[in-house]
Amino acid sequence: MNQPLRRLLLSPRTLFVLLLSGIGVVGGGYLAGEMTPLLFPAQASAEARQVDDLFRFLMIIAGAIWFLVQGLIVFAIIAYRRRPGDDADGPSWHGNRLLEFVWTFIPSVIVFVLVVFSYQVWVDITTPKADENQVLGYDVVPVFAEGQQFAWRFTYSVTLPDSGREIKVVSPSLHTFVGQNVHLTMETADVIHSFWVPAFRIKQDLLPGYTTDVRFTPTLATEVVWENGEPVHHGYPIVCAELCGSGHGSMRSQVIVHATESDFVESFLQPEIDFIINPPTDPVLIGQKLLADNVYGCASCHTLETPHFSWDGNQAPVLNGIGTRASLRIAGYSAKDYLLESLGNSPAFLVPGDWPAVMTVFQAEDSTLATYMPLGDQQAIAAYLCTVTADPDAEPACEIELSAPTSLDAPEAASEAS
Amino acid sequence: MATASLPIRQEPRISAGLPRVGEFMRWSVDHKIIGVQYMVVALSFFFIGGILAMLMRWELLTPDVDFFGDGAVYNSAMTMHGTIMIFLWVIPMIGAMGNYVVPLQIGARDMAFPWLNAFAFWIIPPAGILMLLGWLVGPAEAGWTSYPPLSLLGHDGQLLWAVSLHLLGISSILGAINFIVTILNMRPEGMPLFRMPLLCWAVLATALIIVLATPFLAGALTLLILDMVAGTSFFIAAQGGDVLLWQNVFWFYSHPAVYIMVLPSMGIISEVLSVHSRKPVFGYRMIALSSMSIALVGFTVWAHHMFTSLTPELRIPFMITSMIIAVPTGIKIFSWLATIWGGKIHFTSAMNFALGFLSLFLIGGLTGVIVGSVPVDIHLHDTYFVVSHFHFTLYGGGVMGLFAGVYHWWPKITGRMLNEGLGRWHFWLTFIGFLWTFLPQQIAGMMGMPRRVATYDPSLLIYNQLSSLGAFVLGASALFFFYNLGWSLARGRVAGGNPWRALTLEWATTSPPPPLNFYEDPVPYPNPYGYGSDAAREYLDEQQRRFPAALEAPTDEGSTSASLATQPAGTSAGSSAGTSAGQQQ
Repeated sequence: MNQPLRRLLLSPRTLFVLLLSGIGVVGGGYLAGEMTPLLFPAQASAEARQVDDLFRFLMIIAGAIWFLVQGLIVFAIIAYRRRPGDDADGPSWHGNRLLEFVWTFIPSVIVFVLVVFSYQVWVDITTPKADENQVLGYDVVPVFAEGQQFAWRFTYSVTLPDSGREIKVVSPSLHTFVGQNVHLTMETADVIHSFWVPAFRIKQDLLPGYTTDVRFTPTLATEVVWENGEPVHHGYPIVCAELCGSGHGSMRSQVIVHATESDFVESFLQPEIDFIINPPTDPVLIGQKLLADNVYGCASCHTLETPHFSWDGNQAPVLNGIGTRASLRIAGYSAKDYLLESLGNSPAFLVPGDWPAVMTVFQAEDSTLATYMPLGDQQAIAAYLCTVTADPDAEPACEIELSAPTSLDAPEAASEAS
Repeated sequence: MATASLPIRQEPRISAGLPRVGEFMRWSVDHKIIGVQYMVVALSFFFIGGILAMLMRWELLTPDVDFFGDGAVYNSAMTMHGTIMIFLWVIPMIGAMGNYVVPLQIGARDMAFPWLNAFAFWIIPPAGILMLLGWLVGPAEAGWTSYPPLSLLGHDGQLLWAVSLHLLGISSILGAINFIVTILNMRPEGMPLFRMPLLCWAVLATALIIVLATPFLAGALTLLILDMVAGTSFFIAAQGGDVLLWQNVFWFYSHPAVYIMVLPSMGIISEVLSVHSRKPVFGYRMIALSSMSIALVGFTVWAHHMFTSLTPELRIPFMITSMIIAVPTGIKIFSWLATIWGGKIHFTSAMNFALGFLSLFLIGGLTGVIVGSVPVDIHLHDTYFVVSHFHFTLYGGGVMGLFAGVYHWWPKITGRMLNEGLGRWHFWLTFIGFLWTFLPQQIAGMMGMPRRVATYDPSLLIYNQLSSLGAFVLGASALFFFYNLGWSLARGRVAGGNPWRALTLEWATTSPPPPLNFYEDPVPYPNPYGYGSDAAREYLDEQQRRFPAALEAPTDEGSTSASLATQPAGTSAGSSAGTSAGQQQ
């Protein structure tokens, strides 16, 4: 560096400007970091808190670097713009060893710090915790998530403390409670999906041929609104983050975080267990339950609006009023025959229209295959669909008796079907 | 510093004239014609890919699927947008820049293998058409990454997609071999590697990546095609295959491909920033070596695309390598900053785009460090934050650099200047439209919007509408660019041999250069960026006398060289009128 430049750099005015810029850069970085809570959804898990702290730290560093470099760019284009009439070249500077060392060394140190901090957080949020999946009165209740085009399904394996009987509670949304250390194992029925809960800052792919898992501890209960004496939960969204086909964007569900453990047991787990232990005999109610649990993923493709359901799938035919229409579709088929055939042998009738999704061809023979749907389930779902008439007050279009056990009767079968 | 090396007292020469249009439509082994062919094809696909982007943003104006009517149609648009922009716009455009400029910069008469060069180009148009034909048989819908098993369930268009990509990969490899041989063997005396223009360093680094990485893409595609047509099950888990095999091999190519797309633009930026701020490149050796180290380290980071699918124990090593790559990138950014520092910045369109590159690529780099951190990426992976991040690097970096290159070398290619007024419109609309499009996407991603969706949570509406409006501005900016190209061909001012008074060899001939490029054996100026010395000024004055924009100017020799010396032509549409070139308007 030449003499005049050296003198300029050390003048009080320059030092003042440098100091001011330094404060600006650091302050800018700090402000950028403080924006963190504005940029994320609710911070609802222990992991989210750690990830957000790490993100804030990254934002402070990145923000400061941004203010520094962008500030220098703006300064340079103002200070070193060519003045009119000035056609000389700039000074012939080719490099400076010290400067080049500084801007190699300092970023290296920053990178080192970021790696160490990130590693610590990573170890923290992935280490198995004590008492995973513990539920009051039931010991460990493992949770299993399954993704399929384009639906989520969660299965709780409950061992009844008195009888030792194992039952599977199936739910289309994930229920947990504040403070539960959840360890979720996951598999996919078809293509790759990715389980993402933005409020928890966790994500893990579901890969064919692999069982993957993810851990989290909710810290913030979801909102409950009471409508007509019934609790309506506004859960945290579960989003599929890996492209999985035409309905990828609508492959959503929700995590319902109950405020307390007893709340979780009383308002979710116990009623589900009771339903399985003492299943209703009315096939319509059984069908309704199967559809509500989304055991066969119908909700993601079909539209169905009844007092019990509000599906808005646009991949497959609309089911509203199907009971009424069923008998009109194919000559010689009653509503009952049509519905049963559609469930057990879906390619038999194709509804006119260009529907993107092709329905799974379910079968009742081999319970080891993913396409297994026990005959009883087919009959129960058909029985419920009989009640879905064009006029909500009309009599059911058909009545179907169960001639075989449903998956609610035989929990083992249900687990294999999933 | 040696003095001017051009033989003195040669006759002035005006443009060799553009080849006839027909020359560009048929097989030619002239690297300049091939370069233009690459450019025309690339720009055509840029237009198609851009239209697809506009349609996607139109769909995303509302949370529901309405415009496309079906998520599958959106998926096909998204898949083709990504594939076209990467494989049929940015990479061929690099072929265009490299082909036209590199042989000229190293004073060569042509590429080392002219026939191979033409062959590599002529693979591209049929491959591109094959890709588009997918729409006739059911298009590819699995994204440009085409993860099996989803891609195996697709229509026949997915097969066409794979075959087309295979062909494009072959084209890439053949082109890259040619670049390596040309750059290493055909430099003139007086140009050792470390006196080579930085674009050549960047193209060399890029070509090395292509030769080493693209065979892995070919391998992955071969397995995918076999799974589709031959009943194999490399990626089918139920039959013993492994879906992660594809992800590993695909990203072993496709992450280095990110550097394939951005390194040449970094080379262009090094040229443009130095020439248009009239200062030597600061830290030449470090910039050259950082290109090489990026190329090298770039091979060790691929699995950071798999932070949510990779075995958890392997995630940390890939975080470390991914973060390390920020260091050579930082060296480049600071070196560029030091290059313009203290210079005389001419705000030409080329310079505007180069400065825009600095601002936007900076954000791309910083967001890259953020998604490089495993715990944070667990949340951000496969969201719009990532979409925004890679557009900041590949559009804000790669494409801004390519635009800078077009504005810089268009006068050499066509012999005519672009319109600086239109260029400014193009720049500012691009710059503002870009930030307007991609900053809201960052927030959308953090708030919970996954990528590749046609429908989203209504709470994300505002970010998407903002982004779409920005995208339409960005789309409109490209129209100014295309119009400018046409305007220049029809009415552009004659450029002369060296409108920017640059020291590299491509300017030491007429614009456009004659067949075989030079009128006598070119002698490189000892330092390709030796601005600010009397020797450089004398060299450039003599060059401007030899390759003027017009013959009419000289009255007496002294005044001519004085006026040429004080007027770097084409600094802007307004200020350029004083040069001898300016009278050609």
